[in-house]
Parts: sequence; structure tokens; C-alpha cells
Amino acid sequence: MQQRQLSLDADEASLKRGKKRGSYNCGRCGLPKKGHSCNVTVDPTNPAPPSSRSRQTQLDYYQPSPSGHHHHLRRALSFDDDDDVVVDHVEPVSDDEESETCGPLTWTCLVEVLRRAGPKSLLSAAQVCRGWRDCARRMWRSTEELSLRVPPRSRLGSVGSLLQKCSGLLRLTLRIESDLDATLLACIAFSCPNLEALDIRTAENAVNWISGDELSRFVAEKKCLSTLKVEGCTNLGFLNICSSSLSTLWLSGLHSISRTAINCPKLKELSLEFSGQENDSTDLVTMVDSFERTCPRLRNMHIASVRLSHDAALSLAQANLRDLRMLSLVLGTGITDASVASITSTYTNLELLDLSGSSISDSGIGMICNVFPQTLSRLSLAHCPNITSSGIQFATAQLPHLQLIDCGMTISDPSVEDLTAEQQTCSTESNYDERVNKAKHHPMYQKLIIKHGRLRKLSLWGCSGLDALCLNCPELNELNLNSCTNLHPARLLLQCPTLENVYAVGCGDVLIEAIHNQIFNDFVSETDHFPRKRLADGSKRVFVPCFPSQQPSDDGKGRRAWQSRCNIRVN
Amino acid sequence: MSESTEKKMVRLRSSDGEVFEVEESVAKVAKTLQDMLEEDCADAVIPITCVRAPILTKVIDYCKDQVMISSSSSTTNNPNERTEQERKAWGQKFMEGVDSSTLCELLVASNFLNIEGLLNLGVDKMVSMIQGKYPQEIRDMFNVVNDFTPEEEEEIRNQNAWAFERDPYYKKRSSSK
Repeated sequence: MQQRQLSLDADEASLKRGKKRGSYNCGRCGLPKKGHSCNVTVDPTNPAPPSSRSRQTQLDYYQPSPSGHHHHLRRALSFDDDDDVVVDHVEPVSDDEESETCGPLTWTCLVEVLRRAGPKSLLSAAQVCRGWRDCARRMWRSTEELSLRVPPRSRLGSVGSLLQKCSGLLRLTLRIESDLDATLLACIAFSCPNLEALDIRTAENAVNWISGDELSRFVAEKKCLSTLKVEGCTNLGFLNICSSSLSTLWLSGLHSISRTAINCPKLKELSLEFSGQENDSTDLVTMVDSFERTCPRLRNMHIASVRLSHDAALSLAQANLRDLRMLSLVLGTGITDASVASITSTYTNLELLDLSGSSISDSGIGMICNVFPQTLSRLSLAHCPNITSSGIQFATAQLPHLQLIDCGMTISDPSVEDLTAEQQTCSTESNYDERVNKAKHHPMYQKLIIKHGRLRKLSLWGCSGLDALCLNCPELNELNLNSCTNLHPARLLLQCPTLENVYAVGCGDVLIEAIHNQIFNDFVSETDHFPRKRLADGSKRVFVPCFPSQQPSDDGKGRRAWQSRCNIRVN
Repeated sequence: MSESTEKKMVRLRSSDGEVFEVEESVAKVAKTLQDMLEEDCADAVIPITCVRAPILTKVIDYCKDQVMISSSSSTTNNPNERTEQERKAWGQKFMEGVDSSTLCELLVASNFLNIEGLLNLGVDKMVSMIQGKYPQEIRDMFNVVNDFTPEEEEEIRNQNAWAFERDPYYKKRSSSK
């Protein structure tokens, strides 16, 4: 969920095209272009084959272009006439001299410029003159990946006219801020015959009117679609997804799905997020039960619904999906320790387990630790009010391969817990203030000591019941202490030399200062300070467990580099 | 002067007849010239027919800097990040104050001489200049003649109009930054 959020905030629209400089050879027959008139005709329905560009090619964008086009460079340095090099990575350009220069620029330069311009600039450039328009047109045609934000009030028909230009599109991401219906799907189906990945994101207030019938028809017709992600599926009514190519399916905003038929033998990743409304009537037990037959190769499964119950967990255990490695059953308060027991009895190779929002307790954590000591690398237990710091401590001690653990909103004051149920999705500023006030009246604090050799991310956001924290994690990269309002600055000990990001939103100034000191100053002279540490009131000394320093002592250089890398984010 | 005799010099003639004498290592930054030199055309003056003298001066400035960077980075062992940052800053400075017509000529020249780095700098600059501009503004900037018929222009404008609607969301985001 968090990851998706991040990508939403990314650049509103970015085009990814292949690189590859212009060629000095004829695009049709391959002979050197200089002084050459080509007689080979090209089938207009079959333009130049798209080179195998991928996300990775974006990375080496600025590296020198592949060798192979330098061979005839000398020919390009002709002194007798104004020889312009025609780029033909898209498709051969007519030999008209007119089309070879566009105002002050040569065609090659213009191609280079427009290739890196965003979609908006490209639309603008298309209106400059004919040469620019033709160049922009070729750009659209060779585009394989398009990410577009559709502003509110704009007609979806105009998006359709843009998509029609992109006949070679393989991956499409649309962020739609107006209402949408099946005409959009029809547009995409019509314009992009080879589409492999479709991602439709909707803004909060936009209504997605696509029905289950329309979605199933779209999927059935798109024979090469492998990834489908649609947000805001409130009006689907039922799910009937049958595809032999689909491997990733993400649907969110689902509501009251009457029946489900996800018949995708190649499906590896399934994410179903239901809208958090109480009156949801989806029968998750039957749905999960059917996966054994319809999606036998499921590897990653994510279901977020308040309707998740112990029975759903039982039927999942019975489904026995042999390839399942990542399991996420979120928001189900009905998921209990007994559910954990049945899941762990069937699935013994899980790498990721997310039971956020469930009712499991420390004994559930114990079962998890017993079954997955060798495989589990990511564990998320946010909003599980029944677990305590000793459960978390046990998990970190028993799961040596753990890289990420999220314990947000777990160790909180009893007074706060009733509040958290209501604000599971987000906590507003006012709620936060309330919590702080209440917390002051119920001092019931816990301490947390974690020593772990592989842990990279630790999240303790909203652990208002946390009083003392001691971390010895040489690999720890990211630490989230947002709203750890009662963490005592003097009872904080960070021995994490590779920390890059520390989040401390909503922490007291003294605590932030303590974090800062621990990271930037104390670390350098750690041997002087440990194992004893004076409390803030100066009255007594507490013994702080001393771990053998994992940091090589002569590592002054690395330490400096690390210091400059670490960010403490407080707002 | 004794040094210059040791180093091999190359002479380049711009389109308006001015002759520049540069070290071979500087000229070799341009891959087109490198290929030529390796094919033994070193004695003659190399005519660079499509590049005017002021542009060629700028190009040579760039090449000289590239040579300097590559020689200095081999002696001092800087971590890569730093040089990357410095290079970026230097590139911005180099492109600072370059007007649109010079930019176009620079692009053409760097493409012709096949200087990847300079081409990238120029393209980035031009992309940033185009960004957020209306077609007429782009035309004015780069002296492009509008050769559309009124009908064509109307049609293409209608097609693309939606992208140019002012949207408050985008405005708010960009202003808050």
C-alpha cells in the first residue's frame, strides 16, 4: 500500500522511450544512407519492429549509445553538400528534403529533444509546425510506456485520441481525476492492441462506473495482458476474470462482490482491497476456497477486508496453494491466533506475512516464529492491539532472516486502543492530539530491545506505549519513530551505523535532539558512554545492555560518509 | 611553447573560414574527429562546414574541459558521486546564458561532431525551455515558421486541448514546492 502511494506521487506523467541514436544506414535496406536512394518498400501495417526496450533502458539513458553506428561516421562529415542525417529508429522517413530540417534544428536533434520531453511538451510541440508534428507523431507511435494524469473535467474522448496515436503501447498508467466508465476500456482495447500492462488509478472523488461484465469482457479480449491494476472498483458487482495471460491482478475499492470467478492459470500475484465499509457482503470464504482450482500458481496474495474472518483463513489453509510465498491478510479483526495456527500448518515457506489489523497476540507470533525461522523476511503486524513489546522482541530474536518488521500502532496505551479501531486508515491531527492527552493519564510503558543482524527496516510508528528503545542492528537502514510520544530520550540507544532515514514526526523536541545526538555524536565516542548511561534527572544510572560493536574500529572514513547520508525527518 | 610542439595539434576550420588550432586530445573528444584522425587526415585543416566560429569556440571550450576533467580525475581519486555532482553543476553553468538560436546551433554541431555529452547538455536545456510553453511561445523562441493551414491548426489544437486546461491541483502542487 505504501509503495503504491509513493508511486502515485511520482512525476505526474513520464514517458519512457528507447534510446538509440540515429543511424547512418538506411532504415529499409541497411545500406549507408549517403548518396543512396532506397527502393525497398516497407509494409505500412508493419512498421519497424520495436526494439526490446524495457525499464532498464531508462537507466542507461545517458550512457554512450551502443557502438555500431560509428562505422560510417566519416561519411557523415561530407563537405560537399548539406547532408542531414535522418533518424530512422522509428520508421523510415521520406526522402523529402523538407522533412529533414525542422526550423533551425536537424531532424536528429529534434528527435533527441522530443524523446526526452514529457507528454505535455510533446503535445505542445506537435502544434509548432508540420515538421515538429510529424516528429511528435513518430514519438507517440514508438512509445511503449506511457503514464498519464487525466485532469478533472477533461473528456475521456480526448484521452482516446491520444491513445490512438500510441499504437505500439505496451504499458499504460492512467491516473484519472474525473469519473470514468467502460468507454475508456473500449478506447484502450481499440487503440493499444499489444497492451501488456494496464494500471488505472482513480482520484478520491472520481467514480469508477466500470461494471463486472465490462471488466471481464475487456480481460477476455486482451490476449496479451499480463498485468491489470484497477482502483476504485466499487461498481463491479461481481468478478469474472478469465485470462490465460494474466499474471498480476490488483483490484481495489471492491465492494459487495456477489460472486467471484478468477480463472487465471498463470496468475501469480493477486491483490484484492475492499472498501472498508461495514455493510460489505462479500463472501470471502467461498472466494478464497475457489483459488485452489482457478489460480493454482498463486505466489503473492493480498486481501484487505474487514470481512476477513477465521473461516476465511481456514479455507485458505485448505486451499493449499503450493507456490504461496507472500501472504497478506489485512484489516481482518476476525483473524486470531487460531487462524495463524491453521495458516502455518499449511504454508511453511512464507517469505512475507502481513497480518496488520488482526487480533493476533504474542502466542500467534510464537507460532509464526516456530514455522518460518528460515524463510520469513518481512513481517507486518501494524494495528494488532494484542501484541506487546515482548512479542516483537521474541520475533526479532527468533527470525534471523527478517529484514523488515512493521509494528506500527501496536505498543500503544490502553486508552488509545479504542480510538485506533476507528482510525485504522488514517489519523488526523485532532485525533492525534486527543491521543497525546489521554496517554498522559495512563502511564503503562513498555521497553523494546532489538538486536538483529539483518534487519533493514523497522517501523514503530504510533507506539505511544513505548518508553525505552534499544537497537543494535548493523544493517538497519530505515527507522520509523513517528508519534512515539512517550519514548524517553534518555532511554533511547541506537547502535545502527548504516541508518539512512529516521522518521520522527510528532516526537518531542528533546527526543529528536536525543536521536540526533545518538546518530551524529554519540556514535563516534560510543565506547566512552556505554554501558552506563545517566538518566535525565541525573539521579541514577541504568545499565544498558552492551553489545559487541559490529563496527570495525578503524572505520572513520565510512562513518563520515554515513553521517552525511542519514536524514532525520520531523515533518 | 615547447610543450605545444610535443603535443600534436589539429587545425579546424569553421564554416565562416576561421581556423582553430587545438590539441589532438581536445579534438578527439568529438568522436567524428577522432575517427577522422585515426584514419590519418591529421595534416590538413579539417573543415567543419556546418558550424560557425562562435559555436565552434563554445564546442572547443567544452572539449577542453572534458580533457581537463578526465586528466584530473585520474590523479585525484574522487568518489564518483562528487564528480557527478560537479559535472552537473558545471554543465548548468556552461549552458547558462546560451540563447535559443545558439542552443540550436550547438545541438546541430554536437550532433554533427558526435559529442554525446554536449548533445545531452543541449537537449536537456532545450527540453527545459520547451516545458510548459504554448506552441506560439516555442515558435517565437526557436524561430520556427508556422506552416500549418488554419484548418490543420484548428484540428490539432482541438485534439490536444485537454492537456492544456489549467488545473488547480497541479498549480497548487507546484506552488507549494
